[in-house]
Amino acid sequence: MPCGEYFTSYDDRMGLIRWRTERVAFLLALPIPFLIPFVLGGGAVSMLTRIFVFVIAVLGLNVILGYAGEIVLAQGAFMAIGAYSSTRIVAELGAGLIPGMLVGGLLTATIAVIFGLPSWKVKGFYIAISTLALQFIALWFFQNSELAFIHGGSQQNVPREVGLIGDFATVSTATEQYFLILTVTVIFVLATLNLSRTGIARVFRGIHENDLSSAVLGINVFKNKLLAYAIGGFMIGVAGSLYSIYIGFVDPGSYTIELTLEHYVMLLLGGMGRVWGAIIGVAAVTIAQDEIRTLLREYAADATTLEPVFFGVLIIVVLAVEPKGIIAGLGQIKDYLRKWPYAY
Amino acid sequence: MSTQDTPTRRADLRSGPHVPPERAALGCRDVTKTFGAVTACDDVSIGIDDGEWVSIVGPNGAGKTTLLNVLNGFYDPDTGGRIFLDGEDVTADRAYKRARKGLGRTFQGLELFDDEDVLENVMTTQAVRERPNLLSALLFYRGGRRLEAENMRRVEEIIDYLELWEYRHDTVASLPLGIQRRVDLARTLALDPDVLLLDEAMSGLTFDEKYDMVRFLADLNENEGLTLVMIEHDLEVVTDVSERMVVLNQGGVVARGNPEDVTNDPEVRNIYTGVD
Ligand SMILES: Nc1ncnc2c1ncn2[C@@H]1O[C@H](COP(=O)(O)OP(=O)(O)OP(=O)(O)O)[C@@H](O)[C@H]1O
Ligand SMILES: [Mg+2]
Repeated sequence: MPCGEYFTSYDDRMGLIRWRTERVAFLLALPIPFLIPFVLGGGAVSMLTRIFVFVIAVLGLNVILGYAGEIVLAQGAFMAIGAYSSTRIVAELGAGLIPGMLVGGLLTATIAVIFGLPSWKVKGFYIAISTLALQFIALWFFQNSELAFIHGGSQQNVPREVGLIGDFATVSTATEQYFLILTVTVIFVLATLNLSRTGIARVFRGIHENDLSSAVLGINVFKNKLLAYAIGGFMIGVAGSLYSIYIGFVDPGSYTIELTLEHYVMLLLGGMGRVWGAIIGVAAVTIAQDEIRTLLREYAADATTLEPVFFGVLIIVVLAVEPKGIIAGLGQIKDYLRKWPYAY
Repeated sequence: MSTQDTPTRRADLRSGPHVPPERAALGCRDVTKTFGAVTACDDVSIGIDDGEWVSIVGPNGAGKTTLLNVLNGFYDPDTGGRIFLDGEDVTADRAYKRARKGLGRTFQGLELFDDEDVLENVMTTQAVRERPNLLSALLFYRGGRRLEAENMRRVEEIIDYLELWEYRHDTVASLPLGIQRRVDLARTLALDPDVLLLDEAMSGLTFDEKYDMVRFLADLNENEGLTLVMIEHDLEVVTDVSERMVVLNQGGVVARGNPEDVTNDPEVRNIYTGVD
């Protein structure tokens, strides 16, 4: 006799919430995000908002890297494209946040696909280099004030009060921003969770693991890689436009290679290829970062330059201890608890 | 190396394709494949009839795997070579298109999705056949959900058929070779192929594992009408199961025909026992 809970139907097995304990935890946790702005202070709300924005961006990276296995090093560039394009839509056209996000996402998706085109011939390392080039091109482009007629200016303020569509339903306070970004994050989390349990993500994982056998199984490897670039690029672009709203201005300094590194750390720490892993990774790194910054500042004013060292060490430790990330460790604990008190 | 007095029967073994490649279930005409100075396939023409079980044999480096790679679309043949699938010229189609047109294959070196379990491995193929559109996948609404359930059911049928049920949640890399080769077969069957190319599907298997593999293949061939083309070193298995065989040596076809005649052919024996 097997012990513990087992699935009895297909629908059970495919559900997002499959275990009794998960259902209880979900119901208990559901109201928390909605209560937070009224319970916690501005600092915590701001940090959570930042976490939500990065969750979207890291989930986008997860589609490209975690599912399709393409090493894309242009996270900063993608977010910048989303940020600058949506700022133009919002500030100059006055079209509102939703059109801004959509345009930012679609433009980023398009550029991601263009830079994914070399995957027709090359893979792995070469893609990493070609997207790294995009990172530097983008930074040069956005820093160049002579190109303001395209990007609208290197440094720009994002209007404080913007409607969702046109002037309708304006978002201005930090709490309103929080709820807007929370909503968008929930939509993307659900969408990627759905993606991850259907054939599309399965095909992505197939080309990630073995492109040779994928082709033999009828998978158009190139087309699916581009689809992953498009989906991931869209999400990262939307995250970029939300990030500009969150910070209140756009500046190339927010979208450097360090941002790419940070997102890689988050995804690796949480667990690559896993939606909940990405979420946990973003939260853990953001909170740890905050703590460490405060700690460093107590000892020396310029000690914040040590931050990259912290990231570097973290990557090495994660790869050495649990390459599959926090989520894999949690999974083992969960399995243990589910079968408890039996050992198997 | 060949003797002067040629028995009449041997002429048959040197004749052209059994079926005209252009009208065969799977065929190739004038296929040459060179890698620099190496000629891996040398003017090969073969035709495989619908429902046949054909073996391709030959010493190491004879060009067997290369021929399979040309047939399934991994390599383009040198100019002039043509590939036919079910009477259609598919030379211009890439591998994934030929797969969708019913050409399945397995690998000599087992290219499974090692980190995933058996179920996921087979589901990947099924996902290609019956794939949800992006929107219904993102929403996981009725259509997408029903499709997933149907796919799962079909995959479980295949897993059950190949007696892999007890392994379905095991990570592929942790399974014994015999089971892994069967997973490879399962994954390819999910494609619902008409023709199956097997590259040494029995190499490294124990006697029992080989027996099981032959049992499944025979059932697929006889009851499902699957056309089988297998590369196999074990001549005993070859003569037992296949209706025809093709012998390759140094890229070219040396002999073809009934397995008993071919294995008794002096030239074929020479290739197998000769100094090389
Ligand atoms: N991609 C390649 N590049 C260069 N040479 C190749 C390539 N593939 C095969 N060859 C050469 O072509 C010849 C035939 O190789 P192939 O793998 O087709 O032989 P095989 O009959 O499958 O042998 P085995 O029984 O060892 O599997 C060999 O000389 C091999 O070195
Ligand atoms: Mg070979």
